[in-house]
Amino acid sequence: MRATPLTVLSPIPWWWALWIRLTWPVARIGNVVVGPLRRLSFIHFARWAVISRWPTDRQTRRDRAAPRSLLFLTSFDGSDIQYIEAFVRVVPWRINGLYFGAKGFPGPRRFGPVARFIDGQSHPVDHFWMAYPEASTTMVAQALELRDAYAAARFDDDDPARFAAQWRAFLTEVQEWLSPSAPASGAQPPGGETPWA
Amino acid sequence: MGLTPFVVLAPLRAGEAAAARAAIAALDEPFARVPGTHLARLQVLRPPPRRFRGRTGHYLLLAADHDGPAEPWLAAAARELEPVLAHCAFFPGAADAAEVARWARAREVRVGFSVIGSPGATVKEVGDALALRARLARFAAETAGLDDAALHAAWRAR
Amino acid sequence: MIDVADLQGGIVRGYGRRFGFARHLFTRIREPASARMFLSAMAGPVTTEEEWAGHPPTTLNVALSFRALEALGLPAALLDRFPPEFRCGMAHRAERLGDDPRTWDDDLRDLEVLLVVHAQSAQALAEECAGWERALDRGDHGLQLAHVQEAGLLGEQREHFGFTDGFSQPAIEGVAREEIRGQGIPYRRRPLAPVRWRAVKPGEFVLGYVDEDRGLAPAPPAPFHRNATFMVWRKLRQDVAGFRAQIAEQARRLGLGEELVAAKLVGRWRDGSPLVLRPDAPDRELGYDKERANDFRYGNDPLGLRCPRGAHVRRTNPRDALGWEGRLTARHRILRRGMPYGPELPPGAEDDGVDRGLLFVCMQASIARQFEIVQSQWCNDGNAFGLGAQPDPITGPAGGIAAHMIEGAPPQVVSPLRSCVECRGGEYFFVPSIAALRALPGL
Repeated sequence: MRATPLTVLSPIPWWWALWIRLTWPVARIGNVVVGPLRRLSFIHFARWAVISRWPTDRQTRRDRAAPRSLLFLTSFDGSDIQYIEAFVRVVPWRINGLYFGAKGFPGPRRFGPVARFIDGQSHPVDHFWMAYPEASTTMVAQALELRDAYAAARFDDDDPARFAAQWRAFLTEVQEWLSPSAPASGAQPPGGETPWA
Repeated sequence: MGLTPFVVLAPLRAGEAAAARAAIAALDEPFARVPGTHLARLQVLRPPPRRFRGRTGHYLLLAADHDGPAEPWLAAAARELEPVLAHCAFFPGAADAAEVARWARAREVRVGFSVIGSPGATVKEVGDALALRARLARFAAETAGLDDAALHAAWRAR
Repeated sequence: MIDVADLQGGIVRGYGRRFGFARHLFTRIREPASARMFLSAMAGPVTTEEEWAGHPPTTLNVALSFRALEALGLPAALLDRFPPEFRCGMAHRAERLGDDPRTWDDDLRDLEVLLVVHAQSAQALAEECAGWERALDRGDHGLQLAHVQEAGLLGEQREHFGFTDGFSQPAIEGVAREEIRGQGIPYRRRPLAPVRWRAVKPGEFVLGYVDEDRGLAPAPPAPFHRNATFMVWRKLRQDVAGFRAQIAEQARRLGLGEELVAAKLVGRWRDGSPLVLRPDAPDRELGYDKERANDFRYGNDPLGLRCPRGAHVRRTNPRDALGWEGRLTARHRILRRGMPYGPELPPGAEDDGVDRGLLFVCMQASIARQFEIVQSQWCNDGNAFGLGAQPDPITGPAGGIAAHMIEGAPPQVVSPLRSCVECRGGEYFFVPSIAALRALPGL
């Protein structure tokens, strides 16, 4: 399995919870915030939620001992070192926009303190499952682009020369989405048997 | 069609955290039998307590990205995860889908901000696309350097 | 400024081509107290980073694995604060490195103390090593000689596959090669300003100095906390005849020249000229020009049409290939200090069964963040470059069969590509400061 899950729970004061709730709708608009994060292509997803009240099993009462918290759920390809590094070195102000008010947040600009902050607030995931465990998020995105390009391609099955020219033009178009594998490379691709056409 | 996130944070019954963890450990790929599940996680967690406020309880976190509407997905997930969910307070059992949905919605955590890596596609679409990519990649590798006739013959024989 | 009298030599600056002969002496610790005294006394003859008045005939370095530190009986409280990957040892990191330790040479497992002698001549090497080997054979120093590995530079600064090697190294601030463009980290003073290069902070390679995270890298406690580094030592056997045969076969299959196919796997022509600057033909003058041979980035070649995205040098030092002008690669640089071993296989010769290859040695402040990321994320896998699970065409996991794309119009695929490099064993070592060596008896 390529992917690593991470669950981080960060206690936050009421005023920071209010601030991020107010700024979330703004952050969702346009590509300024989301764009660079999405370009970090090893992120499967990153989701944040504010938990204001923790219920207890006495349904009508809330768990007063549990703090207001920022919940962060994510999964990514590659190492956790590179994941945290990407946030620190590429999108620090966006991370600051989420964690500035979180208790104990050391600021977004140094890897060491941020890594310790995350480590101290991570909760181990007991069970994690992916429908396509050997495919990274980049591979999925490439596969979908390739699917669309293949669907639009026209191959002349009757004329070898014309077919060859069409195939090579197609390969030229899609090469950045294709990582060719050797004939005896082992694991079956996911998705079972799929017709070519 | 995009992925739908669903996050449930449910308090566990007092004293049942260890049993819930054991039930999770005993699971056998349940999400493989819940159609439309892209990713899913289950964990028992306990928030750190506020100072001088005593101890916090244990919670079960269920978070998933799935295709389509939530209710059918929840009904299927509840059936597969019943041995774990049974340790949650007020879990109504998996038999009644409507009750399961009501229970889950009451414990749903609304996601405020998301960054999603992949464009929207169902599990089947992703699987089919990956398989096609693998086949095209293999064909490209096997036929590199062939002349037009041999390439054409290989294509027809695929 | 680095305390040059306390740092072992050959780390921040290599000894250079003048010292073309080397012997690696592996010893085991038999009696800890005596061994501590012996190693402590090595603080005298060990080469430091201090400037030389003239070139000595030989140099000497010493390094210790975690197994050695344990065998020396160092206190647990001290041992526990070494990094986890170093404490595990390289064999236990096999899965992430793509190794199979079951196939390693017996003499290259469970390594403890490493003495390395570099020399300007074979005779000087023999004389110097004879002294050390006699001392170790006596057995009264608590150490026993276990294995010896020779190494020696080949002609024209090449390695066994015929590629010039060893000249692309990080520029280190305040120390070495700062002025050479392309060796450091690219940056712009303002958006749209021309790209400049700055040297890498010394703390990326030497403990106790500021690193690229603007702090001191996590380090073991005193006396091991400064003027020290972590070393990765790997014996990489190269199947030279197999490599040549594969190149020839693939060149015939694809209708391309053999030199071009080889260059497209490595990312440079055999003379060192980079494909990104010379995509069509080699340029020997550029390849041997230290000032210009590394002055390039990949930002203008995002699709790999000049230098394939999966080429060896692009994977092992991606520069700005991962976007954001190199910010995601700056903290994963390594200092390579290895040397070929074994005799050259003459061109056109059949495989003679002789053991030859590369003693891969690299230095860094953090093995997990530097070497292991390069090996596991960039060499053994291609996802960072948009290549899925495709491994490095030169160093891909042993025994693996891979394919390698040569981007173009149309692209070509080198396939199947059998790995011709195999790790025969090795270990993670700690290279202590002179002060730490002196302090050993008292710990």
